[in-house]
Amino acid sequence: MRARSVDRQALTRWLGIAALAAATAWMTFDARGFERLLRVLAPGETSWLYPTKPLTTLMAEQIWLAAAASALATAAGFALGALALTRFGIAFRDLVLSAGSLAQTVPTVALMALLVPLTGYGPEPVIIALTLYGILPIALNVISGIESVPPDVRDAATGIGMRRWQRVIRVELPLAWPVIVGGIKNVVVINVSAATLGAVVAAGGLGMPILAGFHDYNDAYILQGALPSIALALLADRLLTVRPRWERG
Amino acid sequence: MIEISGLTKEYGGHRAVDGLDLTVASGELTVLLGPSGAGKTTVLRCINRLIEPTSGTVCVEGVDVATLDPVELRRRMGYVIQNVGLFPNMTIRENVAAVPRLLGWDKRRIAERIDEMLELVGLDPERYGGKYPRQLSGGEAQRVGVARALAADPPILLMDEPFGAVDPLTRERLQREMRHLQARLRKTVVFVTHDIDEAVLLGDRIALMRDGRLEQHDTPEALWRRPANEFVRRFFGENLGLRVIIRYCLADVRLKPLEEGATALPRIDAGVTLKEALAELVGRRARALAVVRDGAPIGMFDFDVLLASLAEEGDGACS
Repeated sequence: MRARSVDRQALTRWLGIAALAAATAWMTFDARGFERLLRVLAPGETSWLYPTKPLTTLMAEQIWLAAAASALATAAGFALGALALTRFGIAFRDLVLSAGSLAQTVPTVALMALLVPLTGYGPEPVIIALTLYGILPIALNVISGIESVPPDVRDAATGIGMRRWQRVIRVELPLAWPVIVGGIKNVVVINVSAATLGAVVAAGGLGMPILAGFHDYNDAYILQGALPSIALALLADRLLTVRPRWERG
Repeated sequence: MIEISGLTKEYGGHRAVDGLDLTVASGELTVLLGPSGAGKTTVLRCINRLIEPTSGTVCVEGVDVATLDPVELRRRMGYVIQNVGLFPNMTIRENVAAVPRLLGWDKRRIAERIDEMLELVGLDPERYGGKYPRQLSGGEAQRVGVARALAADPPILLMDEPFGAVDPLTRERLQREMRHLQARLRKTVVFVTHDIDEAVLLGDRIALMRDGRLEQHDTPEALWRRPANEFVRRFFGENLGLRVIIRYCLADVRLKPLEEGATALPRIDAGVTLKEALAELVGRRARALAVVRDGAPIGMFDFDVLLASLAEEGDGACS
């Protein structure tokens, strides 16, 4: 019975992922089909597809912006979190924790705009801004994930003769993993939708039709940018929602 | 053999352990007993260097542990703690395999050893091997904890209130199994508890501690007959004698020959402890019991037999 319910959970998850992936792919590659949907949703318009760039290019740019920023934020966040957990970083840990919540208060658009004079227009200010925005939540989850490992488990690991790195690799990281992945998920989902702001600094992406629609009072353009972005964000969310084996059943 | 001498551990001026001398002979189980805060766990953790003493030494087989790599040292000592500390992310098999893996055993040897260990603690490897710790009951988890500690066949076992967190019935079963296991394996065990019954049942010797000092280190019988001081007497209380008789079974004592008409007496198995036999006398309001072994009566047990057995010096043998 137990095994069957586990299988059902996994099945539901993969069905959801497949449906979202199919929806995203359909909107991206079947321009004619997507246009028909947009005609239905915004019947008052005269043009339904953003003319400057095809959706395939916009989607690729969107994914690139979000993926680059998420990867950089993950790497840096991991390093920062790990550093804060070392013997030398303990003092520094509280700083990271408070800085983490503070950084969230800076508006992303403002940060991008401030970066433009330094980097010029293009994808760079977006990637840098989103990376900076994502580092601390990931570091925070690395810290709280490792700290959530029960002291008894840690004591047993040391007591049976694991070296520090063995304890980290075999016990602490696997146990902290769900929390860490949760942090990465939040950052990726935010980045997927926040990358639309890149249009403001000419970074391309799905924000371009949204911005154009805003300019031309064209709801179809806005939807053409927003719907694939939403589907992509949901897909990332589903993909990164994991439950470890040992917590199932 | 574990020799502890002059062991002192200070925490900010407070002495958790204060100049403790204690020798644990090979193959013996010594219980560190005492009220909470007596320093029992601190002593235990100094043996595998989870705590570094302020002063004093711990020697294992004649070697000062301070001169050894603490990690290598710990791999040669089984370690069992109260809340088990099984690794939740590993299956039962992986948990039991932890130390052999650290020691670099080959896969086949580890697999064989896991089966052997799980069977030793009374868990079916087929049924339990693939489970995760959260799918086990407290008692089952504790058995896995013991199996993990024994997996690499360490000569020394350190146990810190291993049965403290399970329900009383399970605890009693685990204690009994531990006694059987120790009778077979003859490990050098240091066992921390604050449960007097557990100490009396399991300990070859009991080291009674108070405020970081050793009050008396002796067999339970000797603690009962010859308490070293008022604290020892008061700690164990008046009924230590009643507790000590759990260490003997009917087969260990000189029974009375069976009288005529003894067939009418309530029967009791020779493998039963004196404490249970006494409870049987009281419970059945009987004057005497017929002791049987393999179905055949071998003698008679009554209150005189009990008194006579208490007059003799001896070590607990029932297992």
